[in-house]
Amino acid sequence: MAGYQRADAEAAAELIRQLSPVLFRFFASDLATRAFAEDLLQECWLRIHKSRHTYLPGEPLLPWVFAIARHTRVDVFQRRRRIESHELALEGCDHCAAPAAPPDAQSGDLSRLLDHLPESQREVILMLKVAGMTLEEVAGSTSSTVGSVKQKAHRAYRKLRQILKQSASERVRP
Amino acid sequence: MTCEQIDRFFDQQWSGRDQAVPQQVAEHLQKCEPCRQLFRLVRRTAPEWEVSPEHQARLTGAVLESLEPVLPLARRQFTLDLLGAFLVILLLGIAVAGVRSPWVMSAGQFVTVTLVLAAGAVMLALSLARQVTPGSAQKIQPGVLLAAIAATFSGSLLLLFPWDMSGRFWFRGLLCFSFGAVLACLATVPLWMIVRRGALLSPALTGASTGLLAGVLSAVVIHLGCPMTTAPHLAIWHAAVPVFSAFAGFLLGHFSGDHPAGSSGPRT
Repeated sequence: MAGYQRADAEAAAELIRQLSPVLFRFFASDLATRAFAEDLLQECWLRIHKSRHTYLPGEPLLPWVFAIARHTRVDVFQRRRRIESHELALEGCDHCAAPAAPPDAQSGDLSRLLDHLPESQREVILMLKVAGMTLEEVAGSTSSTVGSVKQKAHRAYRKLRQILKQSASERVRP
Repeated sequence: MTCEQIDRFFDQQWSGRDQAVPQQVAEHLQKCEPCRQLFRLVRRTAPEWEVSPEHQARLTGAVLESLEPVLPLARRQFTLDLLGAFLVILLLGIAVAGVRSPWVMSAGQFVTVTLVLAAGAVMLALSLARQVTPGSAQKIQPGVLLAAIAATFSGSLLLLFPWDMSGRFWFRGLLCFSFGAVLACLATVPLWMIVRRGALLSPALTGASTGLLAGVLSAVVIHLGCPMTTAPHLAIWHAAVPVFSAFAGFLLGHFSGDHPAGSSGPRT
């Protein structure tokens, strides 16, 4: 990151190579934003690029990056919702292309399960388990404390277990 | 091992993809179906959750195209700049409004209100420095801080000064409020220019904090210049200035938030 701030092209390319997959997983593992995860990644890098002077050399990098990423996710999602709320659906348009199916059809149930969680818990689980961050890093990204992150994560695990139990019992029922 | 202990195991830095599972955890997972399912879900990364090489190449190209060296924005320097600007505008405001209150208030009243306002200004400057530095832990959430400063200021005015509605309540009040509001609006501009050097992740909240800082500055000026020492006058008209300017700052941040995160661009 310090090399990126000094305009070292190799350092910048390496940073993008290392961070983009983690950021993409963070955006793609949320059902609400998966369809435009690539746009989100691009927007996020634009913001990282614009704010790169605010990173303090020597400080942990992931909290800085994910603080920007989570705001990008919320802002872009809200912007898209606003635009979509003003769009009118075309009916009976034979020559119009059918909307592309979101690529979540076969991709595991984690996103669908996470959809049942409140936003703050979902975000914590995404950062901890999808982006692979530590509790301290998540606390830095969300401007909260380690205790609060733990509490949200534990509540999320409990809720996820409940949902898994329910779905298992529904499967057993004839 | 219990499910709660599995939660604590999840707390460790364990992303589930490339790390071994301890024996005890494996034993619990064999017995507990929900934990096993949860474990499998967390461990799994869907193949389409990977960024395509073409997209990554496009991103790299776009970043490298506009790559210029930048100076890291030191948080301490940012705070000092903000407080320096605060002091300069404060002195200009005092020069215009004059100083009358130390001679009409008691020492206790004067010192307490001044201390509350000074502490509020310092805490706001520190909070702003953290708000514009992504990933900084906030000891006090910005929204809570705004409410706490407003409540402490109004509360100290109500407790320290006599409740007396006589005198020129409306005339003197509107005079104080209009002067304070104009000064707060003027002070918001240079403070906002400094704040914009950082990353505006929540422009509306950062705008409200900046507005409140300008409002506190304005409240100090009218607090020093106003000869009225009644609780209704101070708690309504003087306290209304920071509230008004925080709202104005909120609108400023909200409507200038089209280019969030470092709206002023990097400094080279």
